[in-house]
Amino acid sequence: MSRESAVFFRAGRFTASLTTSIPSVLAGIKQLYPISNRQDDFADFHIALKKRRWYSPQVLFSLNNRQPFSPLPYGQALPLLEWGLNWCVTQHYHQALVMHAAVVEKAGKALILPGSPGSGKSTLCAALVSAGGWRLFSDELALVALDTPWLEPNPRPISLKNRSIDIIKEFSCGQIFTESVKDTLKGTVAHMCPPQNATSQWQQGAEPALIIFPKYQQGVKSNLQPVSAGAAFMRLVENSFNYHILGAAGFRAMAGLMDKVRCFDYVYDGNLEHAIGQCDELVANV
Amino acid sequence: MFNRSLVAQLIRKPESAQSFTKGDWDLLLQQAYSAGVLARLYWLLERSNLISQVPQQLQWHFQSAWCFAQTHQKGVLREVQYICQALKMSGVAPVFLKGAAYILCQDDSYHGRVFSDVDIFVPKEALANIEQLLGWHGWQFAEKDEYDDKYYRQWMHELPPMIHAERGTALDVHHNLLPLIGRIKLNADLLHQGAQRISSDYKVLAVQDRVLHSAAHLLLNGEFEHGFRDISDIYLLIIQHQSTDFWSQLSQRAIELGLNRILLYCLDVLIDQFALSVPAEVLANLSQSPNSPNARLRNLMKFLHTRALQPAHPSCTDSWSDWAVFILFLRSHWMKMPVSTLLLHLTRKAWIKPLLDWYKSRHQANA
Repeated sequence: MSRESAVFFRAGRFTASLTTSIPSVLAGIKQLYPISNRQDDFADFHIALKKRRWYSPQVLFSLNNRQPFSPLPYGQALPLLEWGLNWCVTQHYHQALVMHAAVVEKAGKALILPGSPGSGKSTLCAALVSAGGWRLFSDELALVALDTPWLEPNPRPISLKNRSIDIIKEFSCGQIFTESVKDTLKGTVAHMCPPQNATSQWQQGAEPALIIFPKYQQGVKSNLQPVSAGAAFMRLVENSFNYHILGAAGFRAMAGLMDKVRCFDYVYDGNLEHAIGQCDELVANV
Repeated sequence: MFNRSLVAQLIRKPESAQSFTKGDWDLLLQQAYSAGVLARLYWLLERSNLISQVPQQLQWHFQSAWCFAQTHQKGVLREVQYICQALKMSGVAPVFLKGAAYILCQDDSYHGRVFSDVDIFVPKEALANIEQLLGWHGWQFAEKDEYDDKYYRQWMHELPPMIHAERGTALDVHHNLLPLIGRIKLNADLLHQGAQRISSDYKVLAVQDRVLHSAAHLLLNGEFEHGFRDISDIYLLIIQHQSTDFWSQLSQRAIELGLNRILLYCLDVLIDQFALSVPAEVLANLSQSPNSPNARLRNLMKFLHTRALQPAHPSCTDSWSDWAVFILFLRSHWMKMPVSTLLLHLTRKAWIKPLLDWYKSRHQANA
């Protein structure tokens, strides 16, 4: 068997070296990342995706030759790579407070969108960056610097699920999407390529200004309610991956963040144009 | 072959970081992740003022691993307090083992070390009382399978694993350090006699016994997933404490406890992987003591152990590595129990347990 060679790419603020011969993955990463074959640089994460079994084949993810997850159906190799790359960060990166939230930026001011699955956070984030003139920091992970209240970008493909795939395809213009993968744990999944302005400025952080907790609800009137800093603090702790690992430093980062931002609960009905207008208005007033 | 183990090189000689190329660092990082020793390397480099040698782009890996390990160890120290508090009424000062002992003794092997559970060792006659006290304070048995319970209590050297109901932390309560029905039988009283009280509440094994216990645990329990990390624990422990007295006491103690063979195998690996210098008379003493292996067997065991105890990374393995792990796994069962018991146990695990599980799941589904 010939040895597979590794491809090297930048995934947000991290670099990855991927060894695989799975065609769907090779095609997918070509769409999503600027690939190079150069071997002379460091990679933060050495990943391999391997096909296993010839009957109902599966795909196995490994990082540095260790397998953190159970294998998935072979067709889900590309989503597995994306989830795996997020896992690599949340599991190992403690140089920042890492929270489950989308982050976008406009005029040097960052907007954080924390949210549980189904809240519409990724959809809103995709709308803001593809049609609202906002810059993508991340659709999954907010990285808050520890020494100063500052957000670090980690621009990676935006993961869209089920109906929001078609909604965003229609709503945005000129964006690149991977092929949809059906029947994953999260339903149908597709990834939207991060806009070019996001990837080229991955080192350019921003000051936090707004936290909006989105909640998508069909058939309601959009509604914006202020949230107290204390309540928002506690909710973000629940949404963070390494608050408990960082200890006092995590507390200081979270407190510093709260001093800088205004927080809102935002129930929205799926009218993305209106939602972009509201975010624009809020950020203009902070 | 597996002479590319840069982690072993760095643990042995942190100065060698100065001559690392870009490619070396890239490979080192992978090996360190595979072996679970990133935080240990951070400490070794920091201690030798060499952390700045790590390329800027890779520094965060070392720092983050260190941060994680620090928090983890604070948690372990809290857990030690809880355990001591719970056992106070028994009047028994528990002997902390392995990882927790490294921390409490501030052995070099504790820096950056992360482990999954806390182990204590108590006199067998106090076991019933201790089990009850732990129950009152919230520890419960993780699984309540009658067979497993019997397996642990009659044959093994510890109670079934316990989990704290609120904190979810794991605790193993030992009354011996090797299985009661195993081929090597340890005199638990001797180990207790040698234990040192380092606080009013708890004890640790004497340093020679800490080395011997780590060696016995590593070479006899049949799991080599963290083999490299664990053999490097022993290396750091030995080079920190070694002196003429230490060596002679270590070999004497090994012979006294019946662990001379294990110690000899372990030293053979340390010599091979870390170029540990072992006094010739220690090796001679061990290889001439009763029940010591002949030269051919010793070479074979060295061949197997050096492979099984490498970082789990392709750059550190060869075509024999998987076989070595498999053969040593079989050997560990051979050492753990007599053949008759082993056959019963395997039958139970392979056939009866799945059947029972299937029956239970059906039963629950119907209920």
